[in-house]
Amino acid sequence: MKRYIVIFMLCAYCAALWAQDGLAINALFDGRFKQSPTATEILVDGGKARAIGLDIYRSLTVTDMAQGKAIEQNVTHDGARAKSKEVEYRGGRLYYGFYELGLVRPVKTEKQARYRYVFYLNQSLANKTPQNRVTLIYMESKHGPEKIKQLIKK
Amino acid sequence: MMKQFALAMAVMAMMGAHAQTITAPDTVRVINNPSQVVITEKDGEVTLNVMGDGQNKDYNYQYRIKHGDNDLVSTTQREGHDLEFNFPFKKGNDSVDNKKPHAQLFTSDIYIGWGGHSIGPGLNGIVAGGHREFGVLNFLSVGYVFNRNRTRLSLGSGIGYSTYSLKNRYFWERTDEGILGIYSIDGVDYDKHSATLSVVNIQFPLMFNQSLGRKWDVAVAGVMNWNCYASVNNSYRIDHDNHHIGINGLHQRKISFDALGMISFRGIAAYVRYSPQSLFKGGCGPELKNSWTIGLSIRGRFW
Repeated sequence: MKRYIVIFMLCAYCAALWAQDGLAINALFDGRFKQSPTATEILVDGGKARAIGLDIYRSLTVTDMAQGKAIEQNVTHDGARAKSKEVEYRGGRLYYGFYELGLVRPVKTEKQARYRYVFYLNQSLANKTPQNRVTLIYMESKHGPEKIKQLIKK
Repeated sequence: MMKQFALAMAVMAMMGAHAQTITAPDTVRVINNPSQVVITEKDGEVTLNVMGDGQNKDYNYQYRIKHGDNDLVSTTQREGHDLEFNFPFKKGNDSVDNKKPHAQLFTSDIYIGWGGHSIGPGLNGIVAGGHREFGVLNFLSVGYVFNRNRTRLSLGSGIGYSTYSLKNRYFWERTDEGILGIYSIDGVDYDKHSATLSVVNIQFPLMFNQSLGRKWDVAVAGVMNWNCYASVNNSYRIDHDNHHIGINGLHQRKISFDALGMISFRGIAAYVRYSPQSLFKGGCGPELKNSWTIGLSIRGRFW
């Protein structure tokens, strides 16, 4: 009996670790904001995305700050494991974040490599013209972070 | 058995909590309400000094990072500039604001047109010549957009320039009574000649514009013209010498009305203008009408 309990505990622990391979922000794009009047969701892939050097583009903009808080939590959760990040906090809250999350999947050659990036911006923390708007952008691309930043950052 | 099970559950709970802390943000220290924060950097060493923490004014915390020769360090110093994102894929071309009814000030409709004109009963077909016009129909106009389909009603002001030429061998003249007339120059051997009436007008279009999809627009307008200036010019050449005879101070109709219809594709429009009124009132000049004019226009807001 003891043996089975130990095995069960180990399996549960491993399952917890395995679940963390997925991103927390993936859950935000599962369609929960489709009917929300305070959210705008844009999903682009295929030819239109490839035209600007992306494989996948997903953006979510919400004007409900409760939804924004949930986005912030998911972003900081994924951001903790980022390969590199550029963040700015204001008043203890995440104002801006750019995260490189690494490869989408392991590859054999560099040509096959696709990288994951996340942008986050909470405009309610802006100094000049704050507005209730939180934006999350997730992208997959073969390009490096500098090119991705040029695409998004004004 | 039950004791063992309870112990196992407790251990599992602790492991779950431990799994959570592995992914917790990489926080070094949280200090609430510091009195003063001083950051110094020297010889590759960065020191952060925090004095006071809101509850204890004597509180002092120091954090030091030293980098060696082979370290690759990137630091970003922000002074609180606000950021904005550029969205490569926007839902529709219009921003949310443009979908709501709103007023707008605009300059639009640079046009050029051609037509024929008729002159007086009896002279039509003999002297009637070409008509040309160009100008800006909405030089400064104010419009109200009703809805996201971009239905717009506007009232504005524009400026236009029109010319009417006589064909065959006719010149303009002003009689002793000050009335503009036409006379034949048959029998005179000019190398080259032309007779042109020019009119400058200020236009006031009341226009209704409807978008059809993202590329097409149709518009109809009633235009009031203030014909503020008119002149004629007879030009001729004899023995390689050019001569011009100009006549100003014509008694043209000051206010006239046109109807205009326009259809555009991606900002390039074709228009038709109908001008039923004679340029001169009875007794002031010939009955000169340019009835129908067709032309091209560049639409869109120029600012």
